[in-house]
Amino acid sequence: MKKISILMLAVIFVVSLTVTVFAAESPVTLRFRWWGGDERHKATLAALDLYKEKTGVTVEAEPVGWDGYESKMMTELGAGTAPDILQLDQPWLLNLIQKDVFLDLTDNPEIDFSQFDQEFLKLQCVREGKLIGLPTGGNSFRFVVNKNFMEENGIDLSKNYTWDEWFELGKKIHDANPDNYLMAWDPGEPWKFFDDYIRDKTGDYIIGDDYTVHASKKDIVEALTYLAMMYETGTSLPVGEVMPFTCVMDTNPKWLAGEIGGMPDSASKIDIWVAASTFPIWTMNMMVPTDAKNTGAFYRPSQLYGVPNSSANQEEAIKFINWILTDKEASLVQGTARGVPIAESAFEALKKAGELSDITVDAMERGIANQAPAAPAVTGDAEIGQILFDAFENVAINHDVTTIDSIADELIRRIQTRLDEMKG
Amino acid sequence: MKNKRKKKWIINLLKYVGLIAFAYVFLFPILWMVFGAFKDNIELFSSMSLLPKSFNLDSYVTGWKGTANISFGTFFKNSFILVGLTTIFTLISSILIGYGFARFDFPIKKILFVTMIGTMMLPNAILVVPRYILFNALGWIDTYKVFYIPALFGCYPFFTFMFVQFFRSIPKELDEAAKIDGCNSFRILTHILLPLLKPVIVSCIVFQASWTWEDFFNPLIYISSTRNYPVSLGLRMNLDTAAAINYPALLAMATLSILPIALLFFFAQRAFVEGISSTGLKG
Amino acid sequence: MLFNRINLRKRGRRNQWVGYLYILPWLIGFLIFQAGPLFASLYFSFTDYSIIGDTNFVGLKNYLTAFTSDVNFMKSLRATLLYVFGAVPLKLSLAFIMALILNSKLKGIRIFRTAYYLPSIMGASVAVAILWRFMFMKSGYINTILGFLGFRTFDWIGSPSTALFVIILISVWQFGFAMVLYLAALKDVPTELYESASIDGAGPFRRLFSITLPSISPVIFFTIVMQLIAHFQDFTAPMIVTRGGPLKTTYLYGLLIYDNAFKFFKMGYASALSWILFIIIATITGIIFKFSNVLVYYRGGSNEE
Repeated sequence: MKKISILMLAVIFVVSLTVTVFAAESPVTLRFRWWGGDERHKATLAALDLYKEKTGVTVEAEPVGWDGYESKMMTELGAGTAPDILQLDQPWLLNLIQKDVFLDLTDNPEIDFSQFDQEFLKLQCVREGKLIGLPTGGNSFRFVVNKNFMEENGIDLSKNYTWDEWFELGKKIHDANPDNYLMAWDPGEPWKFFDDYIRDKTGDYIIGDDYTVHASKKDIVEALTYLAMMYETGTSLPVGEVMPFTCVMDTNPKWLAGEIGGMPDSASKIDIWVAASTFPIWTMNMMVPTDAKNTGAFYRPSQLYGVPNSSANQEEAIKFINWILTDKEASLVQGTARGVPIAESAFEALKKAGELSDITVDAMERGIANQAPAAPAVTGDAEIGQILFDAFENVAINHDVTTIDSIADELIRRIQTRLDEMKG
Repeated sequence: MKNKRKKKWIINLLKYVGLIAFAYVFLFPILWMVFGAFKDNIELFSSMSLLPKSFNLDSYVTGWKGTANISFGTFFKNSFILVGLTTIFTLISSILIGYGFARFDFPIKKILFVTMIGTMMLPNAILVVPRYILFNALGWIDTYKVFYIPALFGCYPFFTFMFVQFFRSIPKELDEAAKIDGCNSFRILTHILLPLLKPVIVSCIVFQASWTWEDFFNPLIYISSTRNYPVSLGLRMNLDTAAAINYPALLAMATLSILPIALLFFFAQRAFVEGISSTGLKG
Repeated sequence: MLFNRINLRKRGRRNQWVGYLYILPWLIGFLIFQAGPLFASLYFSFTDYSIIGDTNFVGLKNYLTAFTSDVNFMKSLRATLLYVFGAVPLKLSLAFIMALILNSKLKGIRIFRTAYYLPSIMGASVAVAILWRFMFMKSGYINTILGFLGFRTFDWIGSPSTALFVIILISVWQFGFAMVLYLAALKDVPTELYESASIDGAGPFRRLFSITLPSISPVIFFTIVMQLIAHFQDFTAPMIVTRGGPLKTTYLYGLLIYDNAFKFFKMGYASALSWILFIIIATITGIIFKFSNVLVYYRGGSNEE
């Protein structure tokens, strides 16, 4: 009897030892999904290969396009089948944090926080005290211009124009040649004209994280009036001609023909404009209201990386995020596929290697130096974006100043309803 | 005699001219897409002319390489499998179920039929998440089972209803005659009814193939690995508003992607040409 | 007499069970794959379900919101009704006429049929969006031609009064499906009917109305019902070409549902919107089915649907 039990114990011991050894050695595979174009896909895959070489961890790539990314992500989060690492867009943070589906990375030992600007993290990435995403890069909002057009019309690219001055110039240009427009405003982008106008005029955003409307009706009416003037004076290309090309204005025939002076856009897209246009591109600061309290421009994280709660490999996933964001070699391999890196070491490495184009460096450095206060988390809400867009469209299409008052009323009412809903 | 022949010739010529002119206008967007693949980004959006300055296959080569080391060869293979299985199974189940509803009487048949039609009246968007959870429980996510197994079980009522209508336009006398000759219901279906419905069968195949081939949203949600992506997803894998898009390559691949279905339709038309001029009934 | 009646009953009862056998795949499929999600969506319509996070029961709140505080609901409904009742008749008429024309034995007719069918398989590709934008924008192809011919030009996509027309046009452009079905149906009409009618002196129009239309009426009925059901839910064209604008004139109901489901993630509300649509579609379809007794002729007999 005793012999058998000792034998049994020995067998159990050996088996469990083997199992443990194998379990410890079984390779970890992480699933990583991001959206992007060809360039970003190639660059990221190169980084993943590098990671495998260095750590032996396989990262299964799921490179996809932007279309449908959020829908798919939310469905998977709902079912618990999301990838281990997900690329995130800043506007999504508040909702995801409130619904508690991602890991809180605050004070996580796997992350080298010294690489990240604490202020930036606090204002742009942390919501309700939690940090679920680490920023990949920073993006600043510039006014991209057709250099030839601007020079021909005597626009000074280093000046900070006020909207009044700008409209005067716009009217002159358009009156002289009805085909020409000093600018085009793409309402599909998150930076809404009067949203920024109010921020610049009053120093505060139209809404706040206390779920109330901060701007006064008077300010909103003024902003909407200026918006109407932008179209009345012929300064901006009519909305009807921009909408079909929303987010892809670089393919707009009028732009390609050199009939448009410039457009607001993010610094990360400068290379696209350069590639798409047959004339030289530069950037200038955005226009501001007279006596503006703020002249800075929008600055925000390009994307962020997060790890869902449902991930079975949380520690490995976080290690990976840290590596891909802060490691010097990783950043060299990726280049500016995700904008200019936020992490110090990464940015310096790229700059030293000469990987950043002049225009990008200029845009970024001026953008960083000239930042507006961080936008409140609630501005990321998709429905609020839609409400602001509706008001914008109303004014932009009809530009009838007599309707602005009621449009402003409706805007305030709808935003407040939505904010109340979000407060929950 | 000669005049009559001449007249016919002229009428035919006019018919051709009309058809071609209408086709040109009608197909203009598609022609633009086909020729666009030979232009470059700037020429594509600034020039008004349909024809490109030069013809070269660069965009096709670039486009075919695909994204992230997955070529369009893989995407096409995936699409063929996905579409092939789903289409065959849809055909089989629609014929059987349609036959059941069209030719037989049984209790609560009306309610069941109405329910089946009713399932088409709810938009897919709100059913997708519960279905995802269901399929996830079955372990079918990231496989094509999500598409072809429901197809086998009549989850595409459009085609069932279509067969019901076509079955009902065939006189029942044919069934009766066959029954007297000793056929069971299945033989009636396969030997009497289906031969009369060749065009419908072909239509079902072509339609379901088209719809499944171009479906973007369902594969988006249910397929997670990029190497399992069908063409409809492959076309959009590198589309991002913040990225430089190679439009000619995109148009090149888009052109290729409608080819299989166009060819399928073209060759399937023999079933339409072989008309059924008589139902075989006397008097 | 009695003998016949007994036979009939016997045949009837025997038919029953076999019928169930044939529709068994659907019964199984319905119970497993469709019933669950359908009831789930009905349940969700009474909650604030948003895929992740807590779900709370809210009763009829979603339904009330649609009719009272959602500013886009009515606009969307109006746009959708215009779209449905504008596009479907146009599309089906064109499909029918083209089917008649292409039902000929002209050489190369196959190429033409394929050509007219092609747009239907284009679907919602990015290419379609680019193409239509390019055609209909203010400086686009259509306007260039119109200007050349001396006609007035419009900002087709950019103006609230014309944008919906472009969306309807895209739908009509894709009439290929219906045309193919009509071609198939036309093949089934016995030519002897045409022959005897000709002999009796019936002209082409008489033949059309007395033979062709009644013979293929089951298929016409089918296309009407299916196109109506589909068009009420359509949204891909406005989603990729006009984004529901300008000023929500092309904000079709399907897009309203999609935005609420996958842009705002208000799944509960989207579900309620879907069930409201269901009631609308079911009502209209029901009315058409009732009319079918009068207008549809089934050679297979018995109009009991």
